[in-house]
Amino acid sequence: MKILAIDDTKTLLSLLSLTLRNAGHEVAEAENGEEGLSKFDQFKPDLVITDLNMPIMDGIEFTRACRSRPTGQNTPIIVLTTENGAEIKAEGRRAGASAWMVKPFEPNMLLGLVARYQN
Amino acid sequence: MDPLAELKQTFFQECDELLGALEQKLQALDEGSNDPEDVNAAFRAIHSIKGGAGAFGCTELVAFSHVFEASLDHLRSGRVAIEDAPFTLFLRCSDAVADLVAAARNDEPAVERPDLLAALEQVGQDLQAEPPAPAPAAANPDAPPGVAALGNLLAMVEAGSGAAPASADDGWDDEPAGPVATEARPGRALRLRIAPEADLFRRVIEPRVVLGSLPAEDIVAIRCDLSQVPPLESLDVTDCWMRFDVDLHTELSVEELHGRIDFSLGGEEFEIAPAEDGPDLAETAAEPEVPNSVAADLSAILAKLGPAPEALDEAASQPAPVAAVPEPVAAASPVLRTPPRAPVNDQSARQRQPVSVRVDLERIDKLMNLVGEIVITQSMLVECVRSLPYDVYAKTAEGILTLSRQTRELQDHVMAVRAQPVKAVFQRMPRLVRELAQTLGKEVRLVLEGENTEVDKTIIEELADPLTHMIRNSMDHGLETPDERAEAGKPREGTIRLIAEHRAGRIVIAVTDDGRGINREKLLAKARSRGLVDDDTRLAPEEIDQLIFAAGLSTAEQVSDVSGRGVGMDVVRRNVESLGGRISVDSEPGRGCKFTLALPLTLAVLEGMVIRCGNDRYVIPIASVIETQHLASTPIERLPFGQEVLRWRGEVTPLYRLGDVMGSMGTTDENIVIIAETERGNNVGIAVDEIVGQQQVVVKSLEANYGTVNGASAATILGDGLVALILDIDSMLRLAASGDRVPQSDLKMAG
Repeated sequence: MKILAIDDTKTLLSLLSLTLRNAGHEVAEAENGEEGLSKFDQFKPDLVITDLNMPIMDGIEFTRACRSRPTGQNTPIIVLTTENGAEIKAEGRRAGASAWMVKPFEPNMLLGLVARYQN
Repeated sequence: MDPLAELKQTFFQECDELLGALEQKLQALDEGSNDPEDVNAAFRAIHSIKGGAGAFGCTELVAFSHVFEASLDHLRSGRVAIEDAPFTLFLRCSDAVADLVAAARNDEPAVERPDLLAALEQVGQDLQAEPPAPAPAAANPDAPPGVAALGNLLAMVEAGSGAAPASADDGWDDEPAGPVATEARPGRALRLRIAPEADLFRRVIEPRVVLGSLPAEDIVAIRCDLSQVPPLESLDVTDCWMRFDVDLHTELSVEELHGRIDFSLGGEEFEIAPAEDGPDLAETAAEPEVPNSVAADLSAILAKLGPAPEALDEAASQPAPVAAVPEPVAAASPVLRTPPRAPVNDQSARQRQPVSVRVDLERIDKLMNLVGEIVITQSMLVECVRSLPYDVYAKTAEGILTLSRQTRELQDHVMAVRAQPVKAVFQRMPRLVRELAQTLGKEVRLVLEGENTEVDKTIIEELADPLTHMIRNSMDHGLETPDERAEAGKPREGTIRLIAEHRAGRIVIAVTDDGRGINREKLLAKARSRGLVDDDTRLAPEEIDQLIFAAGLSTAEQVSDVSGRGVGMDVVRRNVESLGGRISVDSEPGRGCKFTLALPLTLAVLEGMVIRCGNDRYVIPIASVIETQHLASTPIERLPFGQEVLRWRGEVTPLYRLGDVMGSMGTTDENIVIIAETERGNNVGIAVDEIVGQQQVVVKSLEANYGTVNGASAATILGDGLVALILDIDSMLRLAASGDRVPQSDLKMAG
């Protein structure tokens, strides 16, 4: 599966894409929402995993922007963040996030979730 | 990732075509055609719509088209004579079907039409005593549940595949996970009720992903509850109204289960509670939640669909075992296989139709772009070859000529692929007029002319909106009520003419009505009150008429529920102008009003005459050019206010010097006068230095890079790689009239 991973913490981003690549996925990386959007257009991922708090454009804004473009309406977006409050989660859902996972992530759980999006 | 949504879109596209065919055939029959093939075609159209609607769970659409189809079937079978058939009713019904389709596609609520349904059921009523197909099926309460399932295939598929890919052992998909399997296991019965927000699908959450996060071996039964699905009129297909009840037999705690679900669903979207009556749910899961009536309807459909009697008979004769299978998917599957047989029936009819392929517009656009590039390359080659020594030139020239011809042919063919008759849009108008006439209580006759005028696909799409607006405007404000008309000595029935034609390289569409015309006093008073016109400014009658396009006028009084809709003529004008088109109005008080809409035939290429003026080259669309002649042999006169005119074929024609109007660089030495036609059909003379040649040019938008350039509609790249402006005669004349141009002398001084 083609997965776009977005996180502003480089190590986390590398760890994330390593986990995904080891599981046989093709991964593109971006360090904030804005870069994420342009990667989204080029890479046309099947799934997006994004952090929430990032400079320039955060995960909520990214999700909203993604949902507002025709190509982004059918792509699952998983938010991977340390945030776990009901309010921010609700905001994420309103923006169009498909799933929410709390950091630090357990590789197998993440891969399990990703696998469920695989047809 | 979601082929279903794509399929659905394709279905709606097909619906549009089918509706067009349906209306056309009914219209033909209404106008006295006695051709049984027209009846068959109409029947097939509604039949196909119903079939697709069933597969996508558009129950309302299925219900309506079923009744519609049934009454058309009376005609087809000859039970009702074609001459006796109520085609006006049928036409209204086809409108209603279009509404239902639109409702399924958009978020617009459609009106329920019990009146039409009742009227439809009256068709062939006296003969109804005979054995109509639906009756026996309705009487049979044991109709196979799978048949009913067809009514909401979509939901079935979703619910059925729910936990399928959950884990490696593939839990309950292939083998029925009956209660038996769980009885002996430790744990307790819990019920998870999932009631997602309507935006579930927009969040790209698939129910199966949510359900898949539950341990597959713990799932006893899953039931999909469709009772919340609103009537089709108010259904947004991107909304999720499914509710899921999941019976679990699990050792996990409520909290643990909660943790498995809340990754994608909000806390308010699901609840977990101890199950009160576990086995009950497992049983009901076998019976899909589709009302009996629908089941009956659908079994009737299937019966009619034709030769699948083995499957159906089998199911019908052994209803009990089938119903007992606690697996909706299993029960549904034999039936799901039957619909594809239907086309076999229609095969013979289809083979007679020309074969066509559905292609993405995007692909054609790419092709078009490529052809555009080839045109530029080709004209570049021509330039190169010219400078070769003669012997080489002679050899190459032949090849280049062939290439030119082939390029042009290629271009024409690509254009032809994109071209469509305006019929596609015109076809929708009779219905609009019919409906408006009813709402407004007016009698209207719509006359369509030039429906076969072809125009680029992209333009076709842009036509619908302004046309609808112009017609609404004419019907609401232009035409009087029958009584008023009678008083004014006009026929009670008003006439609206919709005429399309090619003129000056454009498609010109005129909407003419014979109503009261624009009320200038009222319009002017309103414009004054809104500060659009100063109190002391005096306007010519024609200028007042154009105020109808002014921004901010189309509010309050002018907005009725018919022509209002929140979009004014100013928006229409803006949209039209952004496409390089123009809209204008001519009104004659008491006699009527004429809206004229002119749009380019295509936005991609045009056949142009390349001319030179000073150091600059321009392209005049060849379609605007009527004639060219030497300036020296043309008698020119100067009118008192300075305007030059020439006499051309006995007509006094204004003459403009292009270099002056466009502010060309370099010395101009006009030798040639080009007689060109404007959109309004007037002629104008344009003096230029030299005609360079004639070629197809690729239109490159100026607005994207520069903003509007007065006098020019676009630019192009010539063979030598230099840019030339493509002149827009009408806009150039306006520029000349406004005097708002760069005087050439100033430029020279500045240079």
